Amino acid sequence: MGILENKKRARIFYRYFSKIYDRVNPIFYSNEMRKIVVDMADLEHEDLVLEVGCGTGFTTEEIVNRVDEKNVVALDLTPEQMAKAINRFSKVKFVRGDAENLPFKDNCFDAAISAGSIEYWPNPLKGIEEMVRVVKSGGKVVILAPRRPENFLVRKFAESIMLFPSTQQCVSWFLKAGLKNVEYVETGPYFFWSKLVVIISGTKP
Amino acid sequence: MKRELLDILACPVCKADLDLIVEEENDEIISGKLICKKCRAEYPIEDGIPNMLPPGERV
Repeated sequence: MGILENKKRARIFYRYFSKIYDRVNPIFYSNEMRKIVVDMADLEHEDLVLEVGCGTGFTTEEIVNRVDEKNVVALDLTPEQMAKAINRFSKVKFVRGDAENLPFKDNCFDAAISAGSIEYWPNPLKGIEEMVRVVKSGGKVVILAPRRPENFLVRKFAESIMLFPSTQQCVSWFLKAGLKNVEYVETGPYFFWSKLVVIISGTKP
Repeated sequence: MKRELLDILACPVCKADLDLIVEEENDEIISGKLICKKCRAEYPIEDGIPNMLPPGERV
């Protein structure tokens, strides 16, 4: 288990990291990447959308471009991160909560999106199953995860910090969670770092 | 939080419906609590944000 792959440690880390987060995060997560994430959710303007792990609201910004802001529900574990998102989006409904124990009824969202959060979940399959549970039949579940680095030394270093699942691992979790039409894109912020993350989507039957 | 959020919120532990107790409200609920109808777990609403972390995970 990596040092941040624990909710209490992730929470403490972000309490401090949130001060510089918005300056560091664009190095790893670009505007083009978040567009792909939200494209893969196939949103309609009136859809009710859940974002799991909204952080400071980088992906939320792209979601509110596509659907009515009041129809976006954004969940995060860390109040310090979420405070920035709350200031940016006055109509989004914010909830403090845990990805692996979602505080929502079954079948209530048209889509569920999570970008850059799964690496902190101790039990990623449970988190994905929770997203599937709260999405309506025919709705999409989309996750962006940092990919398992191919270089051995980079991989060992990365894995000492948090979870970096392989693309195959993500596909396997999506299928185990019962999702159909599973599709993925491997992408990154720069041409020399073009497979930094995997963005994966599936449809609830 | 807006009252309409209650339509989709559930207890994170047992997924049952919640009772709402309002302490302070203007156009939104500023403070209060949500109580699970089944397991009776309590979730505080603080500064307008419901804290729906399972009781054992609040740090």
